[in-house]
Amino acid sequence: MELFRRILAWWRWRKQAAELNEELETHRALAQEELERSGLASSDAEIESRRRMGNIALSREDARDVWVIRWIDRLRQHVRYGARGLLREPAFALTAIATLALGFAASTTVFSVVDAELWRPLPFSDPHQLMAVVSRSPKGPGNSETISLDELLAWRRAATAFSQLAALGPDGQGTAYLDHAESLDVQEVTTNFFTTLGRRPLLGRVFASDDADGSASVVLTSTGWNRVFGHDPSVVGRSFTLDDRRVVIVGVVAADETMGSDADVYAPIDEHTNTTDRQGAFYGMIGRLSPGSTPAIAAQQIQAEIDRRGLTDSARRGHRVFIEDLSAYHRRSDARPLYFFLGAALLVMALTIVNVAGLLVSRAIRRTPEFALRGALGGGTAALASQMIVEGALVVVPGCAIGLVVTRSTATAIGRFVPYDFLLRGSNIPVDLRAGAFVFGVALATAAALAVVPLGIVRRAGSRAALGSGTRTGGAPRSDRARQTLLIAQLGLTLVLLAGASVFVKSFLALKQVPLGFDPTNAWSVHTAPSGPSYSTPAALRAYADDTVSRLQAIPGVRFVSVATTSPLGSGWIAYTKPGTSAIDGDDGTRTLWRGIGPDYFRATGTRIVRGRGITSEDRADSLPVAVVNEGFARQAFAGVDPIGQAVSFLGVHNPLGRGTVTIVGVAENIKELFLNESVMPDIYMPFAQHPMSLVELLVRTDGPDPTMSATLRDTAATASVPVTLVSPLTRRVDRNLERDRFNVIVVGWFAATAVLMAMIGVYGAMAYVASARRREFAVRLALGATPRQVLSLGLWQAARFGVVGGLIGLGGALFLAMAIGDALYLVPGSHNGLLYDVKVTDPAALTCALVGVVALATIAGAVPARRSGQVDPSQALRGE
Amino acid sequence: MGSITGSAPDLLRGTVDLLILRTLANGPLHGYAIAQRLRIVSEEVLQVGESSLYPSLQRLLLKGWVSAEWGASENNRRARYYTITSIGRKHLAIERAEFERLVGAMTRVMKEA
Repeated sequence: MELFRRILAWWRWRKQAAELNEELETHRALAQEELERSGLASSDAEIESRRRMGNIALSREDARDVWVIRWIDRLRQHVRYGARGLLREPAFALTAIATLALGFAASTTVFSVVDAELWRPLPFSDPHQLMAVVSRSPKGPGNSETISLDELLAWRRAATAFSQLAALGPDGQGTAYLDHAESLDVQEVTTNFFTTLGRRPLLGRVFASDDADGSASVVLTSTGWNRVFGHDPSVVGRSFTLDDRRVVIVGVVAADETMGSDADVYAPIDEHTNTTDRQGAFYGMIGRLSPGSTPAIAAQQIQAEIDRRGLTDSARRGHRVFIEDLSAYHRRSDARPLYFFLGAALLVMALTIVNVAGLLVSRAIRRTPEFALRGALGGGTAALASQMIVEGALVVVPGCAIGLVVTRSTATAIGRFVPYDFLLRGSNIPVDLRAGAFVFGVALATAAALAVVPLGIVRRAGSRAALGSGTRTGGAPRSDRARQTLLIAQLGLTLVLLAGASVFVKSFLALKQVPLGFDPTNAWSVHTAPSGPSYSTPAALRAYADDTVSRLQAIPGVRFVSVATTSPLGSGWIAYTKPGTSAIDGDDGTRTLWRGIGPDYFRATGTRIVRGRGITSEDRADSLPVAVVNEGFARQAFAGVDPIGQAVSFLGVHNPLGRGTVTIVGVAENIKELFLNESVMPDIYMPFAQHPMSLVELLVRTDGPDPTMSATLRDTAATASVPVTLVSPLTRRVDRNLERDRFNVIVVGWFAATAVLMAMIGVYGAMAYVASARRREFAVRLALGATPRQVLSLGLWQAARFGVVGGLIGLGGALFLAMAIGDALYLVPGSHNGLLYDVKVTDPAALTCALVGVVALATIAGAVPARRSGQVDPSQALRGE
Repeated sequence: MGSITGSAPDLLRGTVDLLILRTLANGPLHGYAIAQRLRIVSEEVLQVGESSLYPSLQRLLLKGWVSAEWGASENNRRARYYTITSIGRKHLAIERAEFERLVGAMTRVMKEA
């Protein structure tokens, strides 16, 4: 009730004030009348009544205080006073606000990206119930084993801890025959796939359980819907030919890339087919835990089933089931760049806070006379403290608000700016406000904590005459030390970021020089996808390859053409190989990349044959099975022995190669297979004629650059039944591979640039302050005969000294961090990528570069104030104070 | 200069409130009349200036112990008349008892100590 009256009064304060005024006037008039009655003249009575009323303004204020809570009023005063102060010092205000905005945007953007990529749960209902279920062989190299349909059915029966268990079949390319042939990414799934995940349809429906009975239903993803069916709203119910069968679109789901790239179309797996036909049918399984059960229970149940089966099936003996949170399972394999950026963002955030703190402290010191005056006049410390907090907030609030706006636009920009497939979970990044709130809170707390600086000045003001502006000795020693510590911390942080950037730049430059093992200039890759019944036999694929090669060969300007199953810096098929002719079932073998190639392959890619011969047209389907290996393979398998004429066996584990033995006829140089910074991988090349596949790539070497070549190649390679899926120059693969490293360099470089800018602002502010504080001293020196140059070097020396001290401390920090990071940024065995190439995190050149950079930036930032000191006019400076 | 009271101590502030409530217990009065009445009843001892009278009245309004409405004064001037509310009466009773207890205690101490 009281609160209500209070609010009402605040709401109609103008009216209430008028009433109070009138009331007070009535009071005075009545007093005047009384005085008149006692015999005073009217004019005297009026004066006397006014005299007796005393300070009406004060009465009014007191009456007003009853209604308006005093602190709100005071807050308004502080805000008004603080804003006026900021407007008087626009350089300070702009610097502090811009610094905060920059730091806020940088850290919040990076945090949002990292959160979206690494921490945010999958966008499905109850994502924590979703589990990835894989079975691993005891000998296998960590890959998950495929399981058969009857195993899936047995697992479903056994694992009551799962309310649903769905499985993914093979994914591959299919050809849709609409008015033209169009290649589609097709993913086979069990019919409960969508309901297990909780993916709802945009249009129509998802698969129902009766689709498991060999139905012709398919579900489109929005990618396939947009790309192939032009976002047709009436697409549900439409039928088309997919490879060899007629299918009906029953629904459309939103494309979802949180578990890797999504298919164009999903097809149901027939679960009632002859089970022996379905050996190794499933590549991955997804289970949804029933409420109350745990992954451990589910693992126990499935393991019991595997062990039971292992008694009779030797291929399953000793297999282990692994159940892992689906979100964690599909997390990007390489989170290192993100963590690295997060670290850099944290440093920038720390730098932001330190910088703003430094600015606030400098400003407080600059205002020493003002605070001293307040202290001398008996100004309350509480009022001063609250005013300082409000003034801090006046910088922090707009800074963070601008930062938020900037973050929103950078988050959208990142979607377009990041390299190809850098972000697994899509490029639509929701801004995560937690990081922003953290920056805001820390900045505000810092500003509040710094209120003690002016309080110290006020307290000392009683004993010392800091008022006299003539003796501006530079504030209090304690706040001076605080300022210097902040400055040194800033320079140290900057060194760490600069060292990081230098290492990345050095690595990038080294990577650009790396030998590729092939010549990408004037080389093209043409992907086609012969699928369906007409290309189901090896003979048909051989004929298709020969025909396409000869058609491309006929193009003027084309020098060499070869068919291949994969090509450099593209993808690769993995085989497990063993030297010799005897490969026993269950042998581990060596992980090798293999590809089927045509006779002119090495001429088309520009890869040198270092020993023996390449594949020739004499290597036909029915001739001796031969192979060319690379130097890496030769060294690994036949160290010291001539590999020519040696036999190699490959073990038939899940790859289309099957099992067999080949004779080595040549050795080729090593090439970059997947990444520019990979270690040497063993390669084995075999004649395409002996191992034809339906995933076909044609490698073309042309005489020189030709702007129409891309279109010519596409038109020539495409046929009525086989679409061309991609035509790209090999140079693009190299660029794309560098793109990621370039992106890393840009991000780290941007952070370093931010740090340098902030540090320069910090040093400039500090030096400008020192220059003004020592103005008198410089004037005396100049008057006594010092040259402006000497005074200048005095200032420069001081700035450089800050650079050296801060830099050396930062160097210690950088070395400590480097030790903590260790090898984490390099090539990891088993994975191919590294964040850094051919450079150590403790690279002496990079660290020296960073140290020189910090000293240089400190000196440069200190130069302007130092120059000003040298130009002080002694007569004016000494007289003026 | 008139009398600058500033912010009166709590005891005094509470006392003025109590005196006003007591004065209003006999019927509605405007501000000037309250001050006059206090002066006359206390035989010129209590001079409640408008600088404490009006803040006090505002406080009582805020608490809801008095209500106010505009009316005509004895010589036809627009004046704001204050009336004690029922909650106000209740508080007056409580505070009066408290006040008498305090005064009684003080009197006893003054006599015997």
